Amino acid sequence: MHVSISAEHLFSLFGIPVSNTMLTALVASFLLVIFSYFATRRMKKIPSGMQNFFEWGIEQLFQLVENVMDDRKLAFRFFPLIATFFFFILVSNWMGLLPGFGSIGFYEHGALVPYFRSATADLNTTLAFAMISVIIIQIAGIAALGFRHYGKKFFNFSSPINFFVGLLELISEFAKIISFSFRLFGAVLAGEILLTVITGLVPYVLPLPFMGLELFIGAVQALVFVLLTMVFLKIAMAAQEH
Amino acid sequence: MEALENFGVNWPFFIAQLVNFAILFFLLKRYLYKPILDMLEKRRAEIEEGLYHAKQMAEDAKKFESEQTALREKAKEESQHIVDNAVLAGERIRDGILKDAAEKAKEIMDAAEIRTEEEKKKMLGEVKGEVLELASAIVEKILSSKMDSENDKKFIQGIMKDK
Repeated sequence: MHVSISAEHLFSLFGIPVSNTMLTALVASFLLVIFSYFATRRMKKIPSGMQNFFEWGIEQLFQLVENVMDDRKLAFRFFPLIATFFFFILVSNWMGLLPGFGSIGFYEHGALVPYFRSATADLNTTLAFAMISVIIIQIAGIAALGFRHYGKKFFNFSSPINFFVGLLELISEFAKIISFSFRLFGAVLAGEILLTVITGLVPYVLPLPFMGLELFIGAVQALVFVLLTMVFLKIAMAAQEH
Repeated sequence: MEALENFGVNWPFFIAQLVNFAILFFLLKRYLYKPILDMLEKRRAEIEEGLYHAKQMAEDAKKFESEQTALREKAKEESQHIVDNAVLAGERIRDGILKDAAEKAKEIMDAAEIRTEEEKKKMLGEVKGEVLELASAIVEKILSSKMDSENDKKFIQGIMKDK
């Protein structure tokens, strides 16, 4: 049994290295866009079929965003980002449970290199998402409060206590990147390792409840990521008390 | 950085994921969020409008109904008024006609009376003349024949028979 923490390099395309998680991310993105395109190609006032399903999903998610952001205008502004995080993470997490993921590949140096590996089981992906999330949070804070006011949260020389609180705030912003990325990466990778181990021990029937568990964890992790992003956005945009 | 590299962080892969996310973001925004959110908003606005219209229509109907009741009430009153007036007018006309009729009847009666009176007078005159004629004829007959009791009796009987 071989467990790899990192994504494996598959091949290079025009000098760009392609890893198995990149391939999966591309497939996931492609599927999302294709389904979206066909669901919204002929929008009807009375929805049916795929349009109905997509409308339901979007509406539910939008209501969640609106509830957490507590502001309809803000919800409209941040919804595309939040929804893209959510759908991509959800699809990636669940795709990792499909048969063939992590099992079909080629042997290199005696170890199996799978063609497909869940995109979120790669720190590159989750780190990229965490970076985007944290940078957007900073931009939203500056846009809402102004550069000086927002900066005061981190660089406050009014008193030694405030200075240290600001320092802690600054560190916590960087900690967010780490916590965002490792939480998602860890949960998904752990799930995959768990399934590999269970399947290795008892290949039939027993992995099934764990599959269900992983489905649940996949959805929860997607939700946690977007909920935290929204809460941090809300906090960053809230005026500082003096 | 080395710690991250131990976990498989590799800058080309990292940047590829960033780019992939950015592209996915714009495509989904274009093909998923915008059309659906627009449609949801549109539908919401339409439903709101529909509800508003329905409410207004119900109000209008209520208003119309009350107006109609008021109108009906008024019409009833007016018709009652007209009927009352008509009854009054009718009574007045009837009274007039009755009076006229009574007058005319009296006139006719009077005329009839007068005429009867005249007729009576005329008749009396005629009777008188006839009586006179008869009397003179009787006298003539008596005088022209020799009167005895036998003749007288016959004569009287003859007159009686003639008459």
